[in-house]
Amino acid sequence: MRHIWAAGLALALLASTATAPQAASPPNMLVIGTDLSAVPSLDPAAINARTVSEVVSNLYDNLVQIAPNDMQTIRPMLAESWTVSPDKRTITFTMRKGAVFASGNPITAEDAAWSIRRVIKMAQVGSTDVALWGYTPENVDKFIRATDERTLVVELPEPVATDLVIYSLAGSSLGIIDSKVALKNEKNGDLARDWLKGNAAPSGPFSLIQWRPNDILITESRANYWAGAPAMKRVIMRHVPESGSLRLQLMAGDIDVAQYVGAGDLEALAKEKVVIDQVPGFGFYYIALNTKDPDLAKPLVRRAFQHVLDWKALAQTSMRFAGYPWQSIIPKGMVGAPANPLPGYEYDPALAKKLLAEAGYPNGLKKKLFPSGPALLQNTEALQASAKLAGIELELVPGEHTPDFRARNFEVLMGNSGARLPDPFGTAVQYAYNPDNRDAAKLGAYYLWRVAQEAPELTKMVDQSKAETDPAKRKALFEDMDKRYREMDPGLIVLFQRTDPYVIRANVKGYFGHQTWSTRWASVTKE
Amino acid sequence: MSASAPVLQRPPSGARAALLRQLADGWHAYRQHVMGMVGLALVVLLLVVALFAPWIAPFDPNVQDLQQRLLPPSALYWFGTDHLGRDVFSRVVFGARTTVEIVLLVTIIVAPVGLVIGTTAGYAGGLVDEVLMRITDIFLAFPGLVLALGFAAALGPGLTNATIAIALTAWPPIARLARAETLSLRKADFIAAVRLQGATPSRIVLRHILPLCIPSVIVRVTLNMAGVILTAAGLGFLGLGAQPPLSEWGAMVSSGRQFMIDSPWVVAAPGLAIAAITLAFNLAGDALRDVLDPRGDR
Amino acid sequence: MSAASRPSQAPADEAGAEDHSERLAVLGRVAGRILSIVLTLLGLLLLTFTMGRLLPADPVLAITGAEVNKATYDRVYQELGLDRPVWEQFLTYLGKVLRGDLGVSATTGHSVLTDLAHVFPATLELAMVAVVTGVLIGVPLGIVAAVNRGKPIDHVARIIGLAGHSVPIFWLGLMALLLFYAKLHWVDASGRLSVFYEGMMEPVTGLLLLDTAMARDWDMFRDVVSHIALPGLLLGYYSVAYISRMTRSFVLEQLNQEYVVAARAKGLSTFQIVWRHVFKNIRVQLLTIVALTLGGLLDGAVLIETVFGWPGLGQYLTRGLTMNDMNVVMGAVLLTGTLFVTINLITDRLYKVLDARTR
Repeated sequence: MRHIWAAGLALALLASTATAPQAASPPNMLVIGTDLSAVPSLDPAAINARTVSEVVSNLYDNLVQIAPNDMQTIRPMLAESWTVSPDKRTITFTMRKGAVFASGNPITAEDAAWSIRRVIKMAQVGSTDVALWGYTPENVDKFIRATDERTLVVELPEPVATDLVIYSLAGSSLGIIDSKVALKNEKNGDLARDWLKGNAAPSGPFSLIQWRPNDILITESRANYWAGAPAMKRVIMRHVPESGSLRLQLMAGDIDVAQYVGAGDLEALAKEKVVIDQVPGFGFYYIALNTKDPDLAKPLVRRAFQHVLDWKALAQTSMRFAGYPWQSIIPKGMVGAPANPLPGYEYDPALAKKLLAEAGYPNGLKKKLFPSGPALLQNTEALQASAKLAGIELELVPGEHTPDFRARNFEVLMGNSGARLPDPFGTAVQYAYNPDNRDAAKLGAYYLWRVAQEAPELTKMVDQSKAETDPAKRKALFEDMDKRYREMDPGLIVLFQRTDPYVIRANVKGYFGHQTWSTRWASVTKE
Repeated sequence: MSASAPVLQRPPSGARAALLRQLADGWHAYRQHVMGMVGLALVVLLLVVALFAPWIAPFDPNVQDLQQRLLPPSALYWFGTDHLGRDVFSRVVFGARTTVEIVLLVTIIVAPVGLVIGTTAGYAGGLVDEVLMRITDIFLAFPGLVLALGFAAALGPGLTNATIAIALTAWPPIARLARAETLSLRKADFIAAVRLQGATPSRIVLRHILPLCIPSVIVRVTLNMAGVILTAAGLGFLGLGAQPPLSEWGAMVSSGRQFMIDSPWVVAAPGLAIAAITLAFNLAGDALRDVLDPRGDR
Repeated sequence: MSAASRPSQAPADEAGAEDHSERLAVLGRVAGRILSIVLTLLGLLLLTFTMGRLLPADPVLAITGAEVNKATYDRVYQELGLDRPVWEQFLTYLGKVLRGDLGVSATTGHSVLTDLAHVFPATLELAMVAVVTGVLIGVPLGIVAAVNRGKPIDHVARIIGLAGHSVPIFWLGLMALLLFYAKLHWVDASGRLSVFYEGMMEPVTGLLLLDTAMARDWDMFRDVVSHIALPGLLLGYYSVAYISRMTRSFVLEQLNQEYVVAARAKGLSTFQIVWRHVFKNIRVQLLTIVALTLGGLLDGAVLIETVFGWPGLGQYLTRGLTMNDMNVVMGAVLLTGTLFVTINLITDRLYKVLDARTR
């Protein structure tokens, strides 16, 4: 007993004298406060979410890259150069000379071929984009191959605009893995799937030191990186789920970059000496209506839903940093984006009520409302209140509902989307593409399938846009697509284009939030 | 709350008059207890507020006005407004209603369940007792909030389900108490007399034993109420309690914490409300225990 | 709190073991006791299993991830035995748990057992600091209250204790963060360690206070203290009400004993009496209370960990719940239950052993 007393007393004394020690992270260390929950894997082939894309983009280099300030230009990375055959069916990459993996192994065309094939063969979320070009686990060995140490040949199984293909190769899931190291850790022919979940075989500027899910990720710069060791010796990502705590730590200098800061804290931080980088993303905030529901199957009901959210008020408050009003499925600045992005989903409860009455619901409607996740809760609360004025009673069920959305197991849902292809095709395929509307098809990657809406015309147009290379024709095609989309009273009512706010301390330079989430840390310096 | 709540001492013949006299004595003793009276007053206040919420609250607790969000306390908005421009005072007032609903519902579920299981186990003895008490032990083998969390998540969202989840964690102590009471009553003369008259066991339990256990069970439930309120608030805080837009204090703290640094009133008001009412139940319970505890120091 | 409401779980010793079969009876009692523990644990498993089956999560998707084709889905469905009767599924679950297989977390990608091994030390450390705090405040408070029974100081002590048990700990945590971290900068917040210390030391025990002290890295030790101080003290305060009340009643009981009267007659002061005699007599009871508190703190830890971003068992469980991560929920709940049962069991035994020795 006496020992406990003594120990406790010592502790209490210490606690009372302990003051916050050396605030501010060291000058050669970058600390990113973020949300590390729901990162089950660091395997490029198994990821597509935002935070983990950033991690993977710094562990693995791609063949090519897209600079954060210029989404249209493709730049070399591990491939020094590339050529496209006259028939536009073959792209030949020449690999960079002298680049090595963290292990010291040279980076060869064989590694690149193995990494790309692996993504297709594993057929997980990472393959969503490249699989669209017609690659299958069966044919990929034939179409993608290394002809020598430095030459990688990428053949297209079907006609696709080669720009799209090259864009997709810049995505974080297509990072080049050290195949020798990975294969050493392969178990029962799993393509090192198990090992790469929590380990890395990096070609990128950083190597993985420590990874504890929901807690912390530590990387260290590589001295033998082909472009030279980055200025930051260490980059640490810290899981900070509480937005307020994130803000305080940022202000104290414990954290250099903060992601997923809540709306309220962003408003306050906007008044401080920090940079809020609002990076426009290729995705939208939407209201999803499941057309399998007999009420929501009626176009007039869906049209009523276009007028039940006071999005102008949201744009000033919870959405002030999270997006801007946008009612088209073609993102801003992209080919085919509308000149007027707000074609008339005005907030008008009276009109909504009238539409509902026309649809046969003079006494209103009762539906369940899901937020896709906790971050969307505030928006759903606003929708619940404003929809009530239109006679729509929404029972709000908080929680994580993305799986329900994917499984078509919902009535009304609010969520946001993102895409990693810097091309309108990337969003069009999510919002206007549904090749097989049966439940059994399980096409959860396509949002239009999730709301169970058939659109054969649009689907055909999306397929067309994939192969079309003529800029003028593409523009006309996307414009037409956007128009037709709106006319069908879509089950996905697009209201905002997303922006991802990154809060950066003033002394941190060179940290640019990337529109396709491939934010790279090699350029970061601290003053 | 306490390691062992005292079993009410009472004459073996459960005469109603004796019981009433005992209650009157108890009340007399209770009234001497200053802290207990403070607690009781607060509990009564809670009930009044809950009952007359629509008349007390100056605004509709669910009406949003995004132009009027996060306003500090003023003559118009006594406790300020929240992030959706709702009046915090009105929401706290209606939150009292939610709290009372939870408390009542838990009592309605827990008391009968605990009574039936406890008295049955106590009277039947043997295997029945063994099985029922084993089940009770298993439920006791979890910290209350953890068990409630699990069940709340399993049963799905909503206040009713959350309340059921809490009730699932709150009945075992009641059952144990009822069993102990029953064991002491089982051998009593009047029970033997009833048995000789040919009453069936179920009749004996339901008509003669169970009613006598009620007072001590009620006391015990009251003693546990503070815990129930805290657990409910904890569930609400973790997002497993009431569904929006219903005002619930724990959920109000939870949704307000994002704005806490700049607008502390959003969190302060509901937090203080929980603290006050829990303290009130704790004080009342403490006083009750003092009054009833034969080894008491008063 | 619920730990507190639990009466001691000693088996009802039916008196009258007959002489000639006393050894047999002892054996029987031991067997009965073991059986009863086994049954309790079995019930625990049944309860977690039910909880897991009720959770609105698809156990197949928990393994395969959301992107899954029909063939894989059906294969895993079969592998998991979900097409077989429920009791068979329970037996499978039982077998797996006995082999230490708690499944894989859908959100971390690790086996739940590995995850638990990571998060548990964090919670343990927090709970230890809390218990020490609870004892340091609660015991003196209880003694003071008992000695001054009925006087204003008794009431004040009671209010101090009860307040700790009444103020919602998640709220108190938020308010404390606001004051001591945001405004006063006295402590650090979020997590167990400042980021720049992360990865600097290989965990030995997983208890950072111990690890840093053993490595004599006092800068880091201070950093750990600065992180644990606030959540630890708050959680400790939460237990003060119970500890102080029990202490008070133990001391009161002792003060009525004859030896106290005798000691008083000898001219010893109340303080001396309490320190030399009473304390010695109640320490076994106190130890029991402290152990029970440790179990009850798991409740508070769930909430305080969420507020302070403490990477412990509580946060692991709540995240599992919000993410519908079935295996995580089942694993965390099972561990909590088992801990609880174990603590109660040890307390019970300890009490008997120590009590017998003091008598």
